[in-house]
Amino acid sequence: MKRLVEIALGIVTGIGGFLEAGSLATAAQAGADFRFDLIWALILGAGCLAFLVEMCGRLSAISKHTVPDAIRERFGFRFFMVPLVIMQLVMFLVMATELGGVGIALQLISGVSYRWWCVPVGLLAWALLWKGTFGLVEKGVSVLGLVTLAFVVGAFHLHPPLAGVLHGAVPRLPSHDGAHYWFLAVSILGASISPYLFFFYSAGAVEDRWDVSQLSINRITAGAGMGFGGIVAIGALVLAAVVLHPAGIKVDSFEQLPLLLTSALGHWGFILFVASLAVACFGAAQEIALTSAYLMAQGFGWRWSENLPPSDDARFSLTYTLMTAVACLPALAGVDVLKLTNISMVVSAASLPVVVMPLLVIMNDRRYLRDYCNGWFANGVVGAIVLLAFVLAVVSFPLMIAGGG
Amino acid sequence: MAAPLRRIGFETATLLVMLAGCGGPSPKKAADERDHAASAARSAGMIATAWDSGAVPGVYASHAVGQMSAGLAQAESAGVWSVLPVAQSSAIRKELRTLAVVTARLDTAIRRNDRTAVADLHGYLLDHGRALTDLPIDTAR
Repeated sequence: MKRLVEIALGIVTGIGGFLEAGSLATAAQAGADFRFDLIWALILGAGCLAFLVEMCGRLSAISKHTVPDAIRERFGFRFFMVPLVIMQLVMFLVMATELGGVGIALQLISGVSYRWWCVPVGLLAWALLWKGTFGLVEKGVSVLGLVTLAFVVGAFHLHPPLAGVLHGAVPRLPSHDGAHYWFLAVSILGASISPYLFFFYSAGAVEDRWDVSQLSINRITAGAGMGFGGIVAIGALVLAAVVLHPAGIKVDSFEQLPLLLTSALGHWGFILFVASLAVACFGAAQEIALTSAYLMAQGFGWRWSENLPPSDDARFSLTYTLMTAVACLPALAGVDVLKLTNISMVVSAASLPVVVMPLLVIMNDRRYLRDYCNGWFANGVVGAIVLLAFVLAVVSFPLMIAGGG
Repeated sequence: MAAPLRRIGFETATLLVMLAGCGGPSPKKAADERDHAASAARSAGMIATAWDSGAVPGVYASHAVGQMSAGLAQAESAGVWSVLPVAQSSAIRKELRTLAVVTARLDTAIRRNDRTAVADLHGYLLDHGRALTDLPIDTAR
């Protein structure tokens, strides 16, 4: 029974934690501009994420190492500085996006500009981290995040053409506006395969004291959780394809996005959209603040745990405090949240190789994984992801300039 | 060793110049800007309809439509139209000006809870949004 509850919670965490400002915005842009044609990118992103997350969980359960910890130990501190610096920059951008996303959600219901909301939202996120435990962050917000299933309900409600949806699951060359198509594909992959999720997941496995007996739960959580999470993002894309594309509407701001759900669910659609955006972005902001602290603490060998009182791991607590404070600044300065989202998703995609490459090496090191090293299939998939990550890193910035505008 | 490095430097510089070139105005960018403006006008219309049916609250509808009106006014003065022939540029700017005014009135009507005015302005918005999209831009130049 306990195992079933753990599996259910793991899947719920995956569903509730998948959608955030980046995946919602990129999925909606893709649906509005290219109808169902980019569904394949969401499926690919969710599949890659499931594989990588499973490996991170397995690494932690077997070796009791988190990903940053293992990278530093296996490759040395000087090498570790590269992912450390790059990932902190990426997490700053993504967290600023998430805080802006919560601000936008509150702006939608209050009419008060998102700029005024970012500091109270940042303070609330910080206070929950300061006072709460890992379980509160991981499970609490993710359970609330189930409200994002409204996108799936909404998509079914509008009866999208099944043939078109299935057709979109197959990768294809764009019929028009190639640069923008590939830019969105890269953004979707960047939003789905967020490297911060690997760090968060592996730290969570250590926080929850996983061992070999949890490997099956890890596999189900990673596969089903991320799979269902991907379905929520596909729901948002389908809604945009059915509601915005026929009307000739391009997604230029978050203010257009409530139309996705109001067209399907009326007044409740508006409420569910605001709740989805607020909860999903708030949860992601908390996860990123924590991950930033995990990365620093595990890299520098500080004491760390979200379950300890802040006085017992002061440097860890100080890191998430600083990250939360600094991430409020872009929204406070009035930066366009949608543009910031697009930039942060592309930067996130470009940062993938610095995490995935070392992970691949570690997942084949018997000193860490003993008899649970990657098999040929897992290595093949991660090899393909590494290749994809390299391509993304090379093409993302030119595509951002050529197709992102 | 120095020659290949110089070559890589030259190729990087060429790429950067090409990328920088993507940032200047072009007929393609003008067409994109026109499409985004038309999209903003349609969004404003759709939000107004949603407000009229009670699906969204007035505070959201007014804020969103007001923001779209500001965006349309900004688009009218954008430098991207300078690449188009004068007559074409003037026609687009005229439609953008009209759309900015209509959306501003729509915002006011929503604030006043004036559903009749919203219905009238919505029709007007559709007509001018269509007129804007119908204005041809030769992107092959």
